[in-house]
Amino acid sequence: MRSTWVVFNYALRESLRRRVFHAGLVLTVVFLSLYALGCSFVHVPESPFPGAKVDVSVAATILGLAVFATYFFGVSLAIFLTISTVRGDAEQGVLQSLIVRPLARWQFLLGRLLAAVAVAVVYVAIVFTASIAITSATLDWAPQHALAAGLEISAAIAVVAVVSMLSSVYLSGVANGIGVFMLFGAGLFGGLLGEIGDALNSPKLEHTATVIRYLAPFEWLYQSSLGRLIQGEGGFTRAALRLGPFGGSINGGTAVWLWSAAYALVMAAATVLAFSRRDL
Amino acid sequence: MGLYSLAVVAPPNDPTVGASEHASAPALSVRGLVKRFGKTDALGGVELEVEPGQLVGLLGPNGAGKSTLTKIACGLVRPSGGKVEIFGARAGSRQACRAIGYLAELFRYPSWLSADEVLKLHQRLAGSSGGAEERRRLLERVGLSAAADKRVGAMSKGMQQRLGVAQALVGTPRLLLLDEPTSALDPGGRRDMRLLLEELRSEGVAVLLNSHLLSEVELVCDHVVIVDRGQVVESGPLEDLARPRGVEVELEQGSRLYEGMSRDEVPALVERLVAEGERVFGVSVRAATLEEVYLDVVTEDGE
Repeated sequence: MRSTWVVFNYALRESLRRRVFHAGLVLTVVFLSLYALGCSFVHVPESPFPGAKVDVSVAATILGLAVFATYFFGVSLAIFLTISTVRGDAEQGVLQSLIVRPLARWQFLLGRLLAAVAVAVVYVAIVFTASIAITSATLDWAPQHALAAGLEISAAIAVVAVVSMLSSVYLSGVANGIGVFMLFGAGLFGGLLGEIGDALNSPKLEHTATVIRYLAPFEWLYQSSLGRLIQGEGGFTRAALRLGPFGGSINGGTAVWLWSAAYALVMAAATVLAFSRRDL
Repeated sequence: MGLYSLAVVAPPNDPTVGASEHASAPALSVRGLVKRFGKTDALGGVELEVEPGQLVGLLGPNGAGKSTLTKIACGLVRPSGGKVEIFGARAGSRQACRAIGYLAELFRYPSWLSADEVLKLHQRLAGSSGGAEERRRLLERVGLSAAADKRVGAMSKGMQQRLGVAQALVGTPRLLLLDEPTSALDPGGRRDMRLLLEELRSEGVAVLLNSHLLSEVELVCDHVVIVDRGQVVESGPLEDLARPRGVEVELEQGSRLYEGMSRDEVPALVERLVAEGERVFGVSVRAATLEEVYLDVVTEDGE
């Protein structure tokens, strides 16, 4: 594992020195500042009838938007850190001198993947925690299952990184970035279909959304994390939240974890196999 | 296509390698190597052998298969058929990778690393225990002592190529595979590179030098392999390839080449010309230059 550790360290330093990472940090600070400003301007109306926790609905709705932004930023970072892992770097002439060293190709991939996931997950953890802290400080509400939600968002980003790494074996950097973003968009589209299917009571649309969840389990993890955020709420409040940005929320349970783990393992194995057969 | 087998020279000391391996295995052994890219045959049954301490020039036109051959030896490209071994170990295996140093034709190091950091990274990947002393020595060897802390992004192409050579020497490789290592160097840099290669040869390191520069190969290599269309079309020691081309005589009307004539026939030739009333101003025995040999075999094959 020494070689993997060397590659991990190298890739970690490379990730932190990329301009896109620095630009992302600046944009994130801007986002969190605007989020805090927006939260401070929020007006919570009087409850229309007894039992309706409007303040919770408002705070959770706004946090839901922040979670989507966190998810989007995390996915973008994971993609940018992995899009050129194989073909992109080989075309640039970066990869060859590393691969001829006495290390197995799977060790190289593992080191690169772990570094990308580590950077993206730490980033997501910080933004997610900051969003919750801002919501709690300004709107006096915090989700009861924040840790579980954060873990699921992080897992979603790790799955995206694995997918991006697999396609990096075949596609050059730009093409891979576009392809993985399209897949990410397809996942979001699936979530939207599920929401519409739920509202219209359309089994076909809901079935389509379920298929997309299996094909793009990062979306399933995201929806499950949204579900975690409102897990402690019930009655009218929960129903109101499901009408808002939490409409795609579901209770993924252990199934989402098992499927996502299996999916990521198969993707990782396919990446190792494809890379071992690739001429550089 | 002939087997390219050359004299054995004592390899450098390496405690990690068994005595039997030193005694018997060539630095690079290529047997019936075939590589196909789709329907294109890049290499069609190449035979090649390089012994420790040999400096072999690999020549050929663009697309001849030189880089593919080098990459297969490094384990970057998988062969479609045949066998390639580095000191008896399958090319691409960890044992083979430990024995080689490689500089690609197209290479780039991360711009944010310094020269010292690039070498440190490769030391760690190669498992070299040389530490700072090895890095200092390598940078000195390629003339980059003063640039140890300079970022790659701030280096000229020539400096990066020197760094590439230093990187290839990390871990004291016993076989050096260099793909156009002087393409970005100025004349002074090329001379330094020749001296370095000669030093390495004297240390018993085997070198396969892939180059388009015939003059460079002619100056530094003791053996040459010419590849064209995936086949070895000429190979052997440089002096064997430089076969006689005839005798050139300077006459009143100009120079005249008597093809196929040898040095022994010069006195009779001069005697005959004088008897015929010619005035002879000079005589020289012509041998084919590497360029002429190259153009002969490549053009013939190409036609």
